[in-house]
Amino acid sequence: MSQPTPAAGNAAVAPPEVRPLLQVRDLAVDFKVPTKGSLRAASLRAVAGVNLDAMRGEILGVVGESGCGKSTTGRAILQLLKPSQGTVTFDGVELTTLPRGRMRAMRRRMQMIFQDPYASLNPRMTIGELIEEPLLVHSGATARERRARALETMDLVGLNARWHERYPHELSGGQRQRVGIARALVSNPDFIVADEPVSALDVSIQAQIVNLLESLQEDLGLTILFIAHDLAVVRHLCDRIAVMYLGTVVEIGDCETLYNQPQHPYTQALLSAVPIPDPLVETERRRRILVGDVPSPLSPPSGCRFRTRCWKAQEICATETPTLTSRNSGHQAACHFPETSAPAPQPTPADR
Amino acid sequence: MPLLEVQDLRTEFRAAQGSVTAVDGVSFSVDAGEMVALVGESGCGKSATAQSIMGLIVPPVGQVTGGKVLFEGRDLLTMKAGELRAVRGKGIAMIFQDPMTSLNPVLTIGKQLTESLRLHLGLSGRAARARAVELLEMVRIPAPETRLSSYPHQLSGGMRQRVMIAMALSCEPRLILADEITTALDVTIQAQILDLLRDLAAETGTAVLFITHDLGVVAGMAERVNVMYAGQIVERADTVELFHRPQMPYTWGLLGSVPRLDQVRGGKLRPIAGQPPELSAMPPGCRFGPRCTHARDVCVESSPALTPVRGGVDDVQLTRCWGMQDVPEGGWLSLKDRYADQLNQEK
Repeated sequence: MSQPTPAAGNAAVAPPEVRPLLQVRDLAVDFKVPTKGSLRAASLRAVAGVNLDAMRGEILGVVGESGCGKSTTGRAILQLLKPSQGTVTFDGVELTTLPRGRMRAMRRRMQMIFQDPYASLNPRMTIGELIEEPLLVHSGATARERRARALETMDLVGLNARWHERYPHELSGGQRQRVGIARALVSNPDFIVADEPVSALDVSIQAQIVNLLESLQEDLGLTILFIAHDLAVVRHLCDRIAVMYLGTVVEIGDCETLYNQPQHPYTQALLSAVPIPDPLVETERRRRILVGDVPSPLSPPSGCRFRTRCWKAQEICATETPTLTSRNSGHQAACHFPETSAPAPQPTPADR
Repeated sequence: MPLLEVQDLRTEFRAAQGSVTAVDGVSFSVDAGEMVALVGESGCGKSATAQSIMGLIVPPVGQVTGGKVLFEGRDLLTMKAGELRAVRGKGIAMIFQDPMTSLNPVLTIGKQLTESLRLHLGLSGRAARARAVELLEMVRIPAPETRLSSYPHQLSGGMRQRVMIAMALSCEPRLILADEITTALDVTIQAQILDLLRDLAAETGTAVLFITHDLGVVAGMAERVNVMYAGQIVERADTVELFHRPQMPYTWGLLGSVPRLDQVRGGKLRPIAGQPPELSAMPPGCRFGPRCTHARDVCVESSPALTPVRGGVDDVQLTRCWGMQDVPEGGWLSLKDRYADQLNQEK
């Protein structure tokens, strides 16, 4: 299952003197699932050898469809799930072998924003208590200092101070997500995993939160791993993008290159499936419609995991697992037959 | 005569503080063979409208309290139960967001498909089975004979939605109500399902009322669009007009909020400030007024009607906005203001 570390490829992404804030190497996560007719649980590899780098101050998007392992990757990076293989190096410290106490101290610097803020907020605590809670764990601040810091953070995420004594059920979905963001930011972290933070929100509210994340990143210099299934949001927000399919990264590169010249067939199909809110563009577009469904991760295809749905697949795709390879600067794809000079989807004259 | 004509529909739900009006005076029509969209955010009343049309809102939960739903000229709201049952299936069929909750988990796909064929079309067991295989083929399900003996949980989400489409098409209805049918699906599966529905509707000449929150999906599917906000239709237009010359500040806001895949990064999104009103506390006047940056006194004082846009043709492009209306107290807005908004935000 192990994949060689594409050190050479990453050198193309990161100038050698810049060390990434986060380095993920060959990360794998297994889940035990019950099997029919057997007492032994089967092992399901949800993440199967992921390699990622996040540079200081960038927003790295991780996209893919349900079950591709993007959320599991995010949780394994924060050590909320125990990886069964691989390393996660954060600012030079290897996290997978870190003792619990030191990991807890490290968490102050690595926080998470969840998709459904309502499910992650204790309904019996006030907004103020919820936002101060991480400080109880991560700092020796006094009650007065905590309160001041909570109010400061509320202001930062655009929550009126009058909400401090209120409860989560009194807030709208967008405001709850602001509380979720405030909880993540209150301990002054440098790295955030944002797991589908805008998926549950209506478009007009989603835009408010996207803009908020964008300005927070700029103002605080945060590094964000932005996990999402909405490719348009990811393109809008992220500097670089990793595309995942069935537990592996199939393509990674900077935003514009990846969108204009996708190399992996899956990335091409994924991009062509996204509807564009413009009827004139939609009637002109040719879609690459994929056949069938994603295979079960319990018995993934041999070789390239995408080959069962790929229109380019040949014999080698079943026998040899393609690794992430760099073919032009800032861009890697794991495919035996990548599109090297893909016709770029013509950007329409922006009518914004 | 339009195939479906909804006139001044009003639907109320029971709530803790009395009753709330989820659908408030909604009127629109769908012609035979046409694909019309009803688009809006959560709670705008789009699904309640569809359920009201199908007669699915019944006391004590809620009640249709006014209006008409004319299907081929006959009012569904005053029909007897038996007549209504005949219209459902053969006249109008509905596809829901989550096929798992609308398929019976303890019956095979075959059983569920043949049931409606026998009930509505009076087919024999063997004929119904043959037709069921044909239908599964039509929705591009591989190995249809073996699929007949599968249970819903053995199928993927995309496959289940195909089965739902097959069931909806089984009695060759004249109209399909498709309520957020791709919302629960991944984007590549969504593309498959939309492609399928578009092809089948064109082949069979079935009209579709397409209900969604996704403007991208609307752009690729519908010929005409109705935008809903807080229980009312606030704008209606041909699809190209709506996306390129939207007339209502709410529509401007919606379009400004959606990032586009084909647009180079740069510039912030232009969200609408605030949030939609609670159904139990509707603002006076224009319901979008409190969030509208162009609102004037008249917007608070009285409710605008859904009327043709300036210089527009009757019933082609309508908007519910004082600023866009050709009346003495209104008409201060034009599309130039939309572009000015955009420039201001980009600065």
